[in-house]
Amino acid sequence: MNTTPDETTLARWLEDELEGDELAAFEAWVSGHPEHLAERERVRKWRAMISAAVPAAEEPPYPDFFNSRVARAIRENTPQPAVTTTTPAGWRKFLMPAAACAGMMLTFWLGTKTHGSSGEVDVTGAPKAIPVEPLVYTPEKGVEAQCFSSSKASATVIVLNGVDAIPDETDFSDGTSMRGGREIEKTASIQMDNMEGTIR
Amino acid sequence: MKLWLWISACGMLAVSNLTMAQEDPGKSKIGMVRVTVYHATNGNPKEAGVKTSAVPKETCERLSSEAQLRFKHYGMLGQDTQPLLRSYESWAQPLKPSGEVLVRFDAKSHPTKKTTVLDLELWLSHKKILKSDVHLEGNRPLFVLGPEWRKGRLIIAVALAPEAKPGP
Repeated sequence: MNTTPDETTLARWLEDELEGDELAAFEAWVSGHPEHLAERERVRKWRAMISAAVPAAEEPPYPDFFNSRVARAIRENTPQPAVTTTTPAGWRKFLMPAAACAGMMLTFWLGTKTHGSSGEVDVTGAPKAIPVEPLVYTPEKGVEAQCFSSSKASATVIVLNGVDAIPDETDFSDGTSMRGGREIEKTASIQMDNMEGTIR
Repeated sequence: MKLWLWISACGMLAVSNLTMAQEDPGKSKIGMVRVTVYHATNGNPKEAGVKTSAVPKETCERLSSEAQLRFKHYGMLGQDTQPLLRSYESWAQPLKPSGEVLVRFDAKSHPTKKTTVLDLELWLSHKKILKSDVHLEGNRPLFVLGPEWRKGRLIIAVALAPEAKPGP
C-alpha cells in the first residue's frame, strides 16, 4: 500500500474494525508510521479503561411499575400543604337539607309553569309576515288562473279561464253527476266513515 | 257501595275516551273550513233549479263589488263544512251527493287566531283543476270563479267557519 489511506479507513483501524486484506494492506502501510501505532495503543488503553468502569448494560433496580414508583417517591418526598377542615355550625348542618329540598320544590314548580297546560305556542304577538300572492297551479291543459286580492270584496279571488263547462243536464241535487266509483269519491267525505281523509 | 262502583265506571270510561282521543294527535281538529258553491248568472236564476237557496244580501253585495264576480243573480247550490286536521287532509263535498265539485285542503302551517294557511286543491268533474296555497282570515274568504253551468258560472267560496259554540 503505497498511498496514504483516507481518514475513514484510519478511524476504522483505530477502532479495530478492519479485517482481511484491507487490514493486511493497512498494517503494511502503518508499519512505516510509528505515530499511528502509538495512537492506536493509546485508544486501546482508553477503551479498556472505559469498559472496566462502565458495564455494558444495566437493568433498572425495580423494573416493574418503574414510573409509578418514581411518581410515588416524588409524592412522598414532596411536602404536602396543610389541609384545614371546618365543620359547619350546628344550625347550618340541619338547615342545608331543608334548603336543598326547598330548592328542588321551587325548580319543580318553575318547570310546571314553564311548560304550561296547552302546549301550544302563542304567536299572535309575533311580527306579521308580508302578505304575498298565493301560488296558483293549474295542472289541466288549457286552463289558466288569474289570482288577485280584491280590496272591494275583501277576499282573494281566483278566476279560472278555459275550464270545461259543466253540462246543463247535470243536476247537482240528485247526484246524477256521480260517474263511477273512483277512489277519490270514497275519501271525499270525512264524516261518512272512519276514513278521515287520506294520509299525506 | 253502588256509588263507588258508578264513580269507578265513569272514571274508567273517561280514561278510555282520553286514551282513544290521544291515539293519533294528527287527527286533532285545528279549525273548520266551509266551502260554498254559488250559481251566478245574468240570465234567469231559475235555470239553476228549484233547490237553490237564497244568498244573504251581504254576500251578494260582496260578490258584486268585484267586477270579475259581478252578476245579476246569485243562488247557493250547496255548502259543506269540514274540520281542518293537524296532519291529515280533508275533503269538502259541497254539492252532495254529487262529486262534481270537490275541495281538498290541509293545513300548511299551524293556524293562528287570525290567519290560516291552507294547501288547497279544487277538483272539477274528477279532475284536479287548481292547486294553490291560500291565506284565509276570519272575514277574508277565497272566491274561485269556476266553470260555466246553465247560462251562468259557479263560484266556489272557501272560508274559515266559526267554531260551533256549545249549547246551553
